[in-house]
Amino acid sequence: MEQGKAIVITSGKGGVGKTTTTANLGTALALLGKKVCLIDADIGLRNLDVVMGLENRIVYDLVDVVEEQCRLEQALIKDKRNEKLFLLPAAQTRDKDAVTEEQMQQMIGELKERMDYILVDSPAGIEQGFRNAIAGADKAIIITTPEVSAVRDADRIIGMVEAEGVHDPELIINRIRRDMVERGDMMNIDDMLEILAIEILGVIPEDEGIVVSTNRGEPIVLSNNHLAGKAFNNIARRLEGEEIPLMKLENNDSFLVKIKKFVGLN
Amino acid sequence: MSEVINTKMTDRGVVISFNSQADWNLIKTALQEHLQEAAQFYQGSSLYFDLSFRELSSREMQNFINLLEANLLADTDFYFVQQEKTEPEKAESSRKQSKSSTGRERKTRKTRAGEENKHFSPHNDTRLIRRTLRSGQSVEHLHNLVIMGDVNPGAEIKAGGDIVVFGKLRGLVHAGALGDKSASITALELVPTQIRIAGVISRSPDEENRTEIKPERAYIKDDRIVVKEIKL
Repeated sequence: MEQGKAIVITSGKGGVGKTTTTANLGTALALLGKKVCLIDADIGLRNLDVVMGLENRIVYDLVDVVEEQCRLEQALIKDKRNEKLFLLPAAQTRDKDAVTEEQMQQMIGELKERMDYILVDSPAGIEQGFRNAIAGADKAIIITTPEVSAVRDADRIIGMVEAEGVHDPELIINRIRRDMVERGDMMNIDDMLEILAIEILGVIPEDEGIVVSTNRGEPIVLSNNHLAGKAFNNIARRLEGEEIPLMKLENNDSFLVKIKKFVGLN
Repeated sequence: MSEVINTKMTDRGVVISFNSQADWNLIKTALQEHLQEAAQFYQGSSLYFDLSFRELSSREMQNFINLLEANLLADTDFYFVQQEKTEPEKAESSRKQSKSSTGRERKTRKTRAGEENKHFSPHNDTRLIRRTLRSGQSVEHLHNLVIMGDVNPGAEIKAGGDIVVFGKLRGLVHAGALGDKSASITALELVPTQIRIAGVISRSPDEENRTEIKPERAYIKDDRIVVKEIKL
């Protein structure tokens, strides 16, 4: 069997949507028929189980696996909606130093034998937790939001990811607001790509539905009427190699308006 | 001369014992050196200090505890152990000392599990925690556990015996953790993420809309966990 692919989802800055992206991308890939394992690498501040609505099913966690208190498959929680989707939860009462990079590598290596995708939800920051999260990853997805601080941190993280030998990271821009971009109040996609200079994998519009879905423990890709859910589905299909253009979120201006902008009349 | 410090791995943690012939100051120096080297290694595990090598005065005991707290990382638990089987009287007296001198400590010092337990005085049976346990915090005790406060989601409490929570129990709870199926869990509001008694695990329903708050008690009946309202 072909080996699975391990993808780390990271950002540097907190609160930009790593966990939400991991949950939704994982669910979307599983909906495409792929066997997916989500790993919560945020030991001590776990969230992925809550966002997936699986918190009450945790018996063993990642640290138990590493410390050989249980077998890997005992700690994998099968998603309640999709039987191709699994979660390896983080320990909540331990800290990042409970696991080493070598241990993560070994565990991901084992998972690659039986999964198509392994998505690792990285903690914020650049310390041990982050290093654990990227250990064993074949690919990195960088999440940012259209804010100068998030982009700055993303830039730092891209450098660190590349230094660790994970090449060609790809970017997801989260929480973009078309109206604000149009007014020029928010960084637009091109501004960010100019700084970060990496391939763009997708753009997620700001969506109130995310808050509801996160609180309910139901990934938004499961409901059909949300733009954000559609954007995550598109990203999953791009990961599978399909060519899907970026969603039109900006620049819906007419030709005339563009000209006006260009000459500074607007 | 023979080794001043002896370490032994057990399934519960590391037992550290001392050469009864050695000088007290020598022991302290050797221990300090050892802990400085191994603090990282011991992090997150439990250390059991076998103090039956000699009786310690309360000042020596305090000294000893200070040394441990200065050299061990925050989440390393340590306990004092007595070889009660061989010298019951001596052990009794020095345990009282250790109790009195550790009274001000935040961590509870407790004696190793196993056959020594039945020698325990009833006063040591129940541990009282007078605060709310938040996400990521955990409390374990060999015997009964009483929490005067809430147990939030993400927090874990575990006891060898019964558990009583005077507050909202919303985290993970495990009573009878050493296999006692007669253990029970009582809370003013019993809505744990997951509940375990001995080897039986049960989780909260995924969809729950409860409006009425009432004190309840959970226990094992026919190998299943049942919950019953308690009349006050």
